[in-house]
Amino acid sequence: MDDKKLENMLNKIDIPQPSDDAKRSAIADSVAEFKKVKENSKGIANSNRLTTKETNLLTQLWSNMMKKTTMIGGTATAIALVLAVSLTTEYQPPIKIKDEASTSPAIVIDGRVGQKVENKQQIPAVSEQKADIGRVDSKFSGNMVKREILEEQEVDFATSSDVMALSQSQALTKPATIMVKAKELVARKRTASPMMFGDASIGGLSINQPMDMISPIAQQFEGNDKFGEFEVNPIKLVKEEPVSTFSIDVDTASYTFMRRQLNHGALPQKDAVRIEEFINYFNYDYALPEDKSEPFKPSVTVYPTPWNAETKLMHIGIKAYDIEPDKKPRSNLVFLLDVSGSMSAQDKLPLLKNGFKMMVENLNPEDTVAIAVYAGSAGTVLEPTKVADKHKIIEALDKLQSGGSTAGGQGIKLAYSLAEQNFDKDAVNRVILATDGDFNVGITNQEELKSFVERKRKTGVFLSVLGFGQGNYNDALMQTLAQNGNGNAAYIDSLSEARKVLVEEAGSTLFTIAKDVKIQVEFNPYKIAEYHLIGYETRKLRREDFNNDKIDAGEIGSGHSVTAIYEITPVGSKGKMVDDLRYGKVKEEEKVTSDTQFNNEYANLKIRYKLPDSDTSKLMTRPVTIDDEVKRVEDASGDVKFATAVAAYAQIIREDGYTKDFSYDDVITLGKSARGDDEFGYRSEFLNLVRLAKSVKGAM
Amino acid sequence: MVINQRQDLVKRAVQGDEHAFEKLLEENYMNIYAIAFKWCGNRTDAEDIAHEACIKLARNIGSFKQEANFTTWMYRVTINAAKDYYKKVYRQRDNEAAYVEEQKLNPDIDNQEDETAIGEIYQLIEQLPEKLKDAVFLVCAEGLSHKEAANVLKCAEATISWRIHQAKKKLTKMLGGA
Repeated sequence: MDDKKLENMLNKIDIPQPSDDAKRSAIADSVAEFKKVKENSKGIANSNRLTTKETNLLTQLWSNMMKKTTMIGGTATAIALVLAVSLTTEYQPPIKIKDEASTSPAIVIDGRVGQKVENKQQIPAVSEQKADIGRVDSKFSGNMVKREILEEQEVDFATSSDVMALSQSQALTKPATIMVKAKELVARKRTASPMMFGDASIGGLSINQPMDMISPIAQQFEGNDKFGEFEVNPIKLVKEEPVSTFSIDVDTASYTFMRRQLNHGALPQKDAVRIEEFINYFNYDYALPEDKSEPFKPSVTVYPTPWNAETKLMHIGIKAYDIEPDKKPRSNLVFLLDVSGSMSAQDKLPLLKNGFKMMVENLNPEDTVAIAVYAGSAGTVLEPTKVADKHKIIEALDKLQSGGSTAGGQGIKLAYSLAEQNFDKDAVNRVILATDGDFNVGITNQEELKSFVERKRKTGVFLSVLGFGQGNYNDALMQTLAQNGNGNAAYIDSLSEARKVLVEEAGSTLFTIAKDVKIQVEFNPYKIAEYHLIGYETRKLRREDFNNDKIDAGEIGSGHSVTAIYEITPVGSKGKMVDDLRYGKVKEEEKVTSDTQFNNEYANLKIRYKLPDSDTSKLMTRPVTIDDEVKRVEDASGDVKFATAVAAYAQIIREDGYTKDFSYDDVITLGKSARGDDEFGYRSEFLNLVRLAKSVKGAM
Repeated sequence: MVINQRQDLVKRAVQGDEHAFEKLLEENYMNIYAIAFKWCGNRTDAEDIAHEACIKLARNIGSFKQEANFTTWMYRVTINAAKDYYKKVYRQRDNEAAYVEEQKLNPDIDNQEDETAIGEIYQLIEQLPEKLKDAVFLVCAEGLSHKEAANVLKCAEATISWRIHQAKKKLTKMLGGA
């Protein structure tokens, strides 16, 4: 094949003129879109002023942090402080690190800590701020964040937990390290605010952006993110379909993806909203089983629907017990990492590395880790190594680089063989795949890939999948592989999320308490006329699948909680949506016969599950009775209320229609009443996301 | 268009000047359309793709960083739009046959032989793995340098050279070692 010949051939193509219409409509439509986008961006800038409430939130978070960070010491806290300012106000004070080795505060911040440094920035407004920022002062007051400064600035709400996480993470000991990570965070948060026109100056302040941190071309949110399609669950008539069957789901990817989109000023596409994943993102303290003979216990509550006076909600909560530390089996892990060129973005490979390093810090000396890479250089980066030699693992992680051409590579087969090399039937054997969407792991056909993963899981090696970045995110494939591999799928959008998934919830990710968990509910037609399951559209099972042990379903890990909510219409309610048949038999629904032992039962709940090393399922049955009912929403537990708020929010942004006039404000009120201790701030973060959604949508 | 004028136009468009944006589109529409056409081989699809690409430009120009090359970005947006369109309409490679059927090139090409050859080439290039195909298109069809192509596809220049090399090897094989 001659070079010239090829080029000539391709160049010879005569390109036919496009029609005038096409050109005109393309230009006209785009200009219209341009204007629309401009209008939206103005909307956001205006409604993101910090209110007093949010200022107080910051104050509170601030004092929480102050209490908790004494172990790290003054410098780190100072950085964290500055971070809080920069993250919440999009302003990054120029920060220099003097000397790692020096014991004096290694961080010097312009005009902040009262040390003399040349002031490179024109910051007329901000310098009037109290110089409290640099001081590690428990007398800190709410003055830190002055409202005037924030007038025109975008506020990045979801970062308060990031800041706290940063300062709390054990992996970060040196101030310099924190600084680097902080910069990564800030740079990442700042990358591409799609709704802001103009150059990077906000309200007159000129902001010095570290160029090396930001990819030269803004990320496009019109990328190639793929989601499986599904239809929202319809309302079912109990008379016609009294039984509802589905597989549980503990994945959380949908929620984090939504959070990421929202932080960039856009609502996620509807296919991306899986309500059950939103609800399950949060941890709930449902009742645990009394003894360990059963891995979990279902709790059920029936209560009035906040958004519909004519219906009720039936909330099912399952909590698995935590494996005791000394009962924890060994882990035999293989990290299979995507190192293709596209992984070079800040929120991909660098984030991945940090996340895995944090995870390794938390493993036991007897655990082993191996690392394989694909889509760039392919092959084994690290043979199975005991965590006792963790410096080798950390080193290998550090050395990872993205880029290089797509070598076909054995990718996934290699990863599994590494796992098998060290296979221990008493240990947790798991491959953790991390990617931004390139699944060219050596098996190109998707069906083949799925069956490969399935076969391997039968030999005892499970698979979990972590997604990063956007524009290439293949959510549908991720979910399927994780399900087939008896693992979970999560989406990592930040360091804090990496910590949540890989450290905090590592137990749940690694240690399976029960597998193939299926739920089946049979409704009592004498009490309930209609029902619909909120979420779980991609997890539906046929009625006969429930008893069929060959059918795969979701796994519950150590400490996991799973929630499912049905909206039910009681018999006789005015809220019935589906008309009775004209030609059907007319049932005497109102009559209560004396021999009806089920008079007090709304439904019968059945759960099937398998213990981790068994292939035969066990069955749990529990009727749902009026004893499980509370008269008012307020009487339900905090967890139930919070889950309901999240369910409402998800339905609103997906525009399902069931939530009627329930507004974002209603969600906030309900959620706030149930925030509880909220140790890591996830629930507060949720409330902030709802506020953000409100402004993106344009007031509901 | 003079470079400075162009940069100025881009700058104003980024800042929200809709007339500047409109002008920018006018100047570049043919380029976008041409890329789209070379990608899919027929006029109607190319028009649709160009339409999509323009919309994407409208949505994202606000966040375009001006240190970067506008043309590079435009290429990327257009190629992505072409691919998306592709996937939507033709699902996966399994529908290759259908696709190849649809691909009608300009019937006005004089040389009949060349016409078949070109058609063939298109079919073959279509069968290349996506990343190789991208490289071939940008360099051989669009005439970009390896460096420029690397910017569009966000990879190293050497990667482009490698991919072109690989592509040619494969094409040669497909053509029966011609």
